[in-house]
Parts: sequence; structure tokens; C-alpha cells
Amino acid sequence: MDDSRRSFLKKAGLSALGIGAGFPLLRASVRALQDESEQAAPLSKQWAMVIDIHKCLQPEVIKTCIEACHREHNVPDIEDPRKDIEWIRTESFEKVFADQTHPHTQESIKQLPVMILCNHCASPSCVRVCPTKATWKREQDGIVMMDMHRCIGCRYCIAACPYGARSFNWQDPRPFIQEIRPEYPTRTKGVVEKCTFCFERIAKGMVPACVEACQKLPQGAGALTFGDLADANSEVVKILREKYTIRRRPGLGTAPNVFYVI
Amino acid sequence: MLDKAFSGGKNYWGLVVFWFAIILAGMWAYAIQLSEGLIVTGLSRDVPWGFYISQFTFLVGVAASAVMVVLPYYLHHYKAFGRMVILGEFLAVSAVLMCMLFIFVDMGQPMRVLNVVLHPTLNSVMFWDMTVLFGYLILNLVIGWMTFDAERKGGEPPKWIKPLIYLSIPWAVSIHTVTAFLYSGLEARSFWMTAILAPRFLASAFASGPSLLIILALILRKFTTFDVGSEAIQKLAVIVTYAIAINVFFVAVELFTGLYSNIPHHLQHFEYLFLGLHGKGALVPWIWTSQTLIALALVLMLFPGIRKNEVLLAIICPAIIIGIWIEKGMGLIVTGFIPSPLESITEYAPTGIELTIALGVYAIGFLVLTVLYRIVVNVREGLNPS
Amino acid sequence: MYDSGKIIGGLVLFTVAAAFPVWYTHASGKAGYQPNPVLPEGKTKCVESKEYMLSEHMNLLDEWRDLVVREGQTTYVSTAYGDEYEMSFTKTCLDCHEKKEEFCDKCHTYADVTPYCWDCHVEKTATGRMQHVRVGRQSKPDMLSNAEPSRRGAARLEDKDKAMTARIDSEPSAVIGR
Repeated sequence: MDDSRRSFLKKAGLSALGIGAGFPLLRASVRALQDESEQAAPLSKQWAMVIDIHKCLQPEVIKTCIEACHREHNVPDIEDPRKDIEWIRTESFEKVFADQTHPHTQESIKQLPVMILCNHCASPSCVRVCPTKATWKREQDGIVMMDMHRCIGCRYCIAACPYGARSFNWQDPRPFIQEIRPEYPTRTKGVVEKCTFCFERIAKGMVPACVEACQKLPQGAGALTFGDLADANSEVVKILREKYTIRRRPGLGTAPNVFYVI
Repeated sequence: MLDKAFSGGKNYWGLVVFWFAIILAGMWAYAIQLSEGLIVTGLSRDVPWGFYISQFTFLVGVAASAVMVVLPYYLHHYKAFGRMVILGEFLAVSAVLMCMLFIFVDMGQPMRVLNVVLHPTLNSVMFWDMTVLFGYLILNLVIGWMTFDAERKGGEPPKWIKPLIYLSIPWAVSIHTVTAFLYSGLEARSFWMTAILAPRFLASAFASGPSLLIILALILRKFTTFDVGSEAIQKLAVIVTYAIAINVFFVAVELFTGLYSNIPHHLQHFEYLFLGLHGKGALVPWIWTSQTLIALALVLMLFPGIRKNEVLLAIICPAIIIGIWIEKGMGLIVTGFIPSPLESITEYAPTGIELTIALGVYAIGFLVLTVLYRIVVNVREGLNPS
Repeated sequence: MYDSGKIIGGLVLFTVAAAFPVWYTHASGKAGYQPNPVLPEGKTKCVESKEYMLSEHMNLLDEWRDLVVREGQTTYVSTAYGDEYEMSFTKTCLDCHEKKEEFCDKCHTYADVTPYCWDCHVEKTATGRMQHVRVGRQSKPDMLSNAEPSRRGAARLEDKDKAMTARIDSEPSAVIGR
């Protein structure tokens, strides 16, 4: 057998090996993807939030919500926005719903403040990319959780999140916390954090801190509603049935569980 | 064989001391980053990856490009690469080492790096990237060492090394493919979400890596008795020419798709990179430098007369390396984050500490390379005393 | 191997010398120094036996942390006593062991281990206002360049205080509604 034929056979063999190993892998990954999508069997419980944009316009409501959350979870207050950490914040309508605005959209609408937080997506990109399972989707209730003990701080999840919902501790956050609540841990430098739908409060049958805080305000009633999407009688499902709601960047297939009444 | 690293002239020891000095500076800077956190970098919430990850991306290419000498030599029995192949394998070792270090210095909690192994996550591309990079490091170290040691002793390398060599060929392709998948699988970053990213990475790798190899071979020829031979250099130059042409084509394909489709999410990134967006364009001069260097290099390399002139080659090759270093480094990584998913434009520039740490990592890589090449040269001199 | 006798002999000698603290303590039967952590007053037992806690507390905490954070469980049933505890470092452990420096630190300093629990979890004794020590190089130029930083800081504090007074006593809070 001459050299070129032998090397051709070798190469052919190698390629066959590659394809042989490739197909089962491909099938497995396609199946894995299908499981992740919304068509798969829904979780027995999926916490969700409905944000009524019109009821969330008053600065008092916005401020109360954000402060309740940030105080509850020892979220630092860092002046440099590039290094800041936010679990819940507002951005202008034109930025949050860039696909819903056009050059002739009223300026007043473009500038409306919209509350944004982690969407606890049905198919979360951050979970897909995390190399240590430091962030994962809880099976019992669909919360996208963060394990600060395990996070290695690679920030792949920040790169993957299409909503800018994640923040990184560029430094030790403690000096920037106005008043530390000892019941809740702070974070250390070098880990990623985000909203967890107040899993620690939900465990006790309470609603998330932001929801509770704005419910207490007379003008904040119904601004934020929290409930189980899998429960046909829950408040969130009722609102979703009755009102026109949208989600952020629906085209990406992440299927957010935070809905907006507009 | 390691004992051969300890005999060398004044130039060698001077170079070793030089690398050590930079390594020390890098370690000092890293100590600051370790205690203060990544606040010492120019990174931000909008641009969470920057200079480190850019270097990582570029160097994976350099590592993968070893396949461009391994494949012709072992699969096609191209004898002219006989002396080049060990240089390629050892360059790969040093480049993978730098890749891993760049990932390491980018981590917020480096003490927990083993979590990637303790909690293996098959759905994460980063897990696979670390796996294939580590495998590639071992492969090249073992192959390079065993084949070269056998040659030193004047015998044949052990039989089991052949399958490893064949394995290293697709493995080289895999490291850069998986590295591209790190980015191209993210729906949040439309700039990276393109199927051509992996082929583009390979093309630019096969242009920049062999260019570096040519320079290294020319340096070795000038300062030592080790000569890979003009034929090997010329063959590499042809490979570089093909690769740079394919790379230019791939970038053009990408530009067409982005510009002609006119989808804002795609367009904005190119706009930021090449023209600047809303008055912000820190990368604009860099990318034009890069594109000019690459275009010029391509045109010049197309002429055999120019390509065959080793003096000109010694000028064109660095131009290619710099051009690609910008294009697939900062040009690709940072632009992917600007504008952010919330349409804000936060620019990024590395800080002095970041640059010092990066220099330190490069110095570690080049120290390893210097020592490995010294061994190669010393062994060769022992084999054919001049 | 050249000089194998000398090398092996030297290694043995080194091992014996390096292990001096171990064999000397065992041989003499008395340790030179023993750490003396202060146990909380008025408490008779921990969640498990003293011996178990002494040797396994780090593993127990490790297990707790995974169960709470990753499995969503909150209750721990003691194998030694059968009673139930909330699996919480801050609320259960630190509730009794209030003073870190008199309990935790005693052994940890002695054994030269630095667990990173307190990087995040807050000491009970530190309740109330933490000191705002600005550490290291946070004073980046771009943060300092803002006009009148002190006044801005004050304004922010004032905001916080207002928010504090506006804060509604929230216990027990609304139950997740239908």
C-alpha cells in the first residue's frame, strides 16, 4: 500500500470515529435542549412576578421596593455604576423594551422607568453556561438560585444573561453596606450575585421583600404581584389571563417568568 | 534531559533573568488583585471580560496552530518539518500554559478553581474548554518530550506515541472550536452568535501561530546553531498565506451578514468597533490598525518573491501577529459587550495592574518556551557538533 | 543511585526531626499548649455530641450549607439527641456562639486555619452599625473626582434614614396570596 493511500485510510478512519462519536452526542444534546424548553413538562411549581408598569411609576414606589430588597439582602450601595451591585433596579422603557420602541415613540414613554430584576427564566442561559453549578434552576419551584459558596467568579453567567440581571463583586462589598442585617449574609469579593426571588422568605410563607414593601404603600397596591404560575387560581395567573402582558426579549427563547403589564 | 536547560551562554541567562524580572512584577500586581479584588481592573458590569480573556482567546489559537507542523510531518511525512515540529509542540505547551493562567487570573475566586473538577458540569462549554485545554497540554508535553528524547538517544520513540500524535491533530482543532463555542453559544451577545466564529478562530490561529513560529525559527537561527531550514520556513509562510486569506474571507463574510441584513443588534457592534457609537469608539483606531496590517500582509504574502525574502518575512509575520492579536483579542471580546443588552455603552480599557499581570503571564509562558527551546538547541548541538 | 545510603539516612533524619512536635507530645503525654475556646454560658449541649462537633463541625457545616442552599431544606434532626434545629450558621450556630474571637478563633488560630465563613456571614456581636472602614485602593480617581463627595455621602445617608423611618414594621408579613 502506498503512502498516500495509507494516510487517506487513516484520515478516513479518524473521521468515521469522529462522526460515530458525534451522532450520539448530538442526539443527547438535542434532547437536553428539548428538556430545557418550555414545551417540556412544566414544573409542578414556578414562582413568577407580574410588574404593572403604570403602578410602578411613582418614585416613592420604586424607591421603597429597591430599598426593601437591598436592605433585606445586604446589597451594597456603590457610587460608581460600573462597579455597582443591583438585585432590582429601574431602566428606561426604551432600554428594557428596545424592540418595542421606534423613532416616533413618545419621548415620555421612552423615558418611563421600568423595574427590572432576574427573570428566573424557564430556560436560563446563565444556568446553561455555569461551569460549577453555582447557579441552577430549582426543580421544586423554578427559582434560579445562586450558591455563593461555590461560585468561582468566572462571570460567564454575566456574559450569558441577556437581561443584565447579574452583578459581580469587584471588591469586598461590606464597606459599602450602610447597615448590615446580621440575619442575612453579605457576599465576599469575587462572586456573582442576583435576585433570588427571596427564597429564604418564601420558605417561611412570605412574599418577596419588594412585593411586600410596595403592598404596604397606599399607591403601590398591585404594582408587583407574586405567585405560582403552575397554580391556575393564583393571582399572577389571573392577571396574565385578564390583562395584556409582555416579557423581555421573548425572541431569545429564555422564557422569562417576570411579566409586565403595559 | 532537563539538565540541558542549565547550560547556555550569556544571552540565554540574560533572557531568563529578564523573564523572571517581569514575572516578579506580574506577581506583585497579582498580589494586589488578589487582595483588593478585580476592582483593580478596568472591567465593569457591562464589560465583565476584557484583556485577560482576550489574551486567552488569542493564545488558544497559537496553541492550536502546532497542528500545522504536526499534521504535514506525521500524516504526510513531510520531512522538511523534521526540525520544526518540536518547536511547534513546545510552543503549544507554552501557549496552553498561558491560556490556563489567563483564565486563572481572571477568576474572582481563584482558590475555588477546583470546583470545576469537583462539580463537573457537562452543559457548560467552559468545563469542556478547561478539559480539552488540559488534555492538549498533556498531549503536547508527552509527545514533544518522548519523540525528542528518543531522537537524542538516536532511537525510535515508543510505539504508543503514534496514536497520541494522531489524537493530537483533531484535539488541536477541538481546543479552538470549543473556545469559539464559549462565545458563539450565547444568545445574549449577537456579535459572537455566529456559526463562522469557530472556523474564523481556526483560520486566524493558523495565520498567527505559524507566523510566530517563523519568527522564533529565525531568532534561533540568528542566535544559535539551530536551523530549521529554509524549506520549512517557506512552507510555513505558504500556510500563513492561505490562512490569512481565509481569515480575511471569513471576516468579510461576517461583515456582509451583519451589514446587509441591517439588524440593529448585529449592526451596532460592528458600528462600535469600526466607527464608534454615540461618540464612543476606543477600539476604532485599534481595529483599523489591525485591519490595515492584515490587509497589507495578505497582499505582500501573495507575491512569492516577497514571501521568499526572509528579511521581509521577519517584518510581515509580526504584522500578522499584531493584526490578529487585536482582531480576535480585544476587538472580538470587548466589542461583544458593547452595547450591552440594555443598550448602554460602557467602554473598557485595561488598567496598569491588569497589563502588568498580563505581562507576567506572558513572561511565564516565554520563560517556559526559552527553557524548552534551550534544551532543544543544546541537544541538537550535542548531536551534530559544529 | 549515587550515595543512596546518605540520601536515605538524611531523609529519615529529616522526617524524625520534622515530626518532633508529634512524637514529643505523644511521648511526654502533655501538650505544651492547648487552645481553650470559651463555651457559651447557660448552654448544656450543641446540636451533636461534643466529640462529634470537635472533629466534624466543618463537615456538618458543609453538609448544612448544601442542604439549605442547594436542596432547600431547613430543619436538622440531631442524631445524638433527636431534637430539631434550623440549619443556619448565622441563626443557630452564632446564636449560642456569639463571640467569634473567644470560641471559633481560639482553635482556628492555633491550628492556623482560616475558614472563610465570616467573609460573608456576619458576627452576632457586630449587630447594628458596622464600621465603615474604607480599605485599600477603592479611592479610585474617578470616584474622587465628583464634587463634594462628603455632602453627597451625607445626602445618601439622609435618604437611607428617611427610608428607615418609612419602613413599616413588617412582621408577620403577608402570606403569599391567591
